[in-house]
Amino acid sequence: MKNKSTNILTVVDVSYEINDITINKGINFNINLGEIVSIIGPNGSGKTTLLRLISGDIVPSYGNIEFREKDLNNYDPKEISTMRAVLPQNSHISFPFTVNEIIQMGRFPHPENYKSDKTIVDDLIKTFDLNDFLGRDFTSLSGGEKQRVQLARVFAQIWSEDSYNGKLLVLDEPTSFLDIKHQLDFFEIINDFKNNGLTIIMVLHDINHASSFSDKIGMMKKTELIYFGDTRDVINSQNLNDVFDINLKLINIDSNGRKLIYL
Amino acid sequence: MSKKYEKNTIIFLIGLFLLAIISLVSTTIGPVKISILQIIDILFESININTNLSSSEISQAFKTVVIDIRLPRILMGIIVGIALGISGAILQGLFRNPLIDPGFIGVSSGAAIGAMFVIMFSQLIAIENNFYIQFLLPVFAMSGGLSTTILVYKMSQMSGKTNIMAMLLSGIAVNAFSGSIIGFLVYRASDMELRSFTFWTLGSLDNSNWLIVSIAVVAILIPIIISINLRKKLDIFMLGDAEAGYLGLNIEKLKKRIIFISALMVGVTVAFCGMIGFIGLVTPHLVRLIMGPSHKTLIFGSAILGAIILILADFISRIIIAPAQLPIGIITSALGAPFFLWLIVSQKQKIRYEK
Repeated sequence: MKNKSTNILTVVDVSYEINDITINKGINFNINLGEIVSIIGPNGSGKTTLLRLISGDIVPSYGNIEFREKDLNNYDPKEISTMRAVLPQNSHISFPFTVNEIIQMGRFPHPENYKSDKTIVDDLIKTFDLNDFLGRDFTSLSGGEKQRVQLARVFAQIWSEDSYNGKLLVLDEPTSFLDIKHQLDFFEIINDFKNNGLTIIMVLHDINHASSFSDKIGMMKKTELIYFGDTRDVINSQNLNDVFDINLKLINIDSNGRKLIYL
Repeated sequence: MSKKYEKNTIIFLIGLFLLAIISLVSTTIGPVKISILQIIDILFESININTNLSSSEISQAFKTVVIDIRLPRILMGIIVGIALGISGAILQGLFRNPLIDPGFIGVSSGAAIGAMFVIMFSQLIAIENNFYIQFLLPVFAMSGGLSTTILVYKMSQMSGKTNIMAMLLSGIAVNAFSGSIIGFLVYRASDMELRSFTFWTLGSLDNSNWLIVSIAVVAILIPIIISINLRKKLDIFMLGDAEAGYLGLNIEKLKKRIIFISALMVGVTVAFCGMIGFIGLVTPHLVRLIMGPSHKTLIFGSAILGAIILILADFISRIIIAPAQLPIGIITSALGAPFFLWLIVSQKQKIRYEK
């Protein structure tokens, strides 16, 4: 199973402090091309800060992060924006832009091409089940609808004709407002993109989602990444009890050793 | 999309046509009645084309009135309208808040201190009246406006980044502090000085002449071009600081540019024409209602509509108590405020700004 794969992201001894408060401490991991990686952990364990570090939004106090074998700090914002897209936890827009306009904004880093941009936007509107909201004012949408529009926007940013090899998507709680149908749709969509080479790292709250749909899982507790590895190795009751301080029962779902939480 | 593009082009053309008509009609009004045809004749004659539409001999006095008095006034009105409309639009974008008025970055209150200082100081050392209005007052008003804006900008810097919330708060603080300085100057002022200052705060196009028009054009031309170039970036900026950064936008550069070009534009208008309220606030609202929130249409639309509103207000200010004229700021506020209220009440659903 373990073929020789190339790293897309390498995080080495990364710590982040602000005003003498440590938010991330001694974090090490790497992600291979085409993997789906989920980060789970209790509130305030530093998951979002870790994503912001990976996204280059903030700079590590110690350690370094390499994206495609080059230090993240050495990227020009414009250069990196065609290779990685980021969906923050909650975005707020004050002006009544239409759904199409918001998705179209994802094409900003690319040279303007009216025809191909329109094809991409139309394609993503279908993918994210947004047909009913064409031309609708974004501010009038529900939380889940807004989240789907924002997802379509970040996919527009890294949209590619052929392969997604070397492209990275960073998503902070991408399913938090979605209903169960759209949650499952979402995991199907990212799996399709993964099969075309896209690498995804995201923060999830639902352990069963993480366990069912990711190749690797990282578990954070109190600023540190205490477990990181293949999903079937990391998800076990001992680790979950360590991280979340609760007793969870797990049931096996398939012969590959994947497990789900039984509530 | 292309249909929308066509629709927007038509709206812009209608706007420009309206602006031309209103400007022309406004040029006919004044103590000397000059017909539209005569005005067209005079305008064409000034560029050496003989039209003679009015089929009459036009006196030299008429020509002087049109070319040296009314034309610069109308042009100054258009310039001021464009500058206030655009700066309102880009500043509401910067703060991502439709309730922002150009005054929020401190430029008007700083200019007021500068103006009041000149008014009091020149009385003290008895500078000849005309000289200080023509030269000293705009220079001091402009310097005052830019200094307060720089102060507001500097106070909003937090570890190398411009914090927009801090900027809003420091703008309010600087305005309050400037208010107390103005209050002190007003308290010390003579009745004469007080009267000049009050008139200055009400705004006026009275001092317009070709020299002022040329200076104003030169000063706001570059800010206008920069603003139009920022239209796509401003749309991206509406997604949020982090989101815009992830799309490769240099947000610090954008913020800095918006602040300084709008300070320059508002500074020029305040320096030459005093304070003209409500245009910067109301104009972008109206354009958003007609054409949507995208800055691709908002900036250009606010320029045209700002000019139309200003020329209309000037027109009204000259006919309402003719032969005397009312300061234009009274008209813009008197019409702008109720209109703004009507807009908010009647278009609640359509406006739907979130926050």
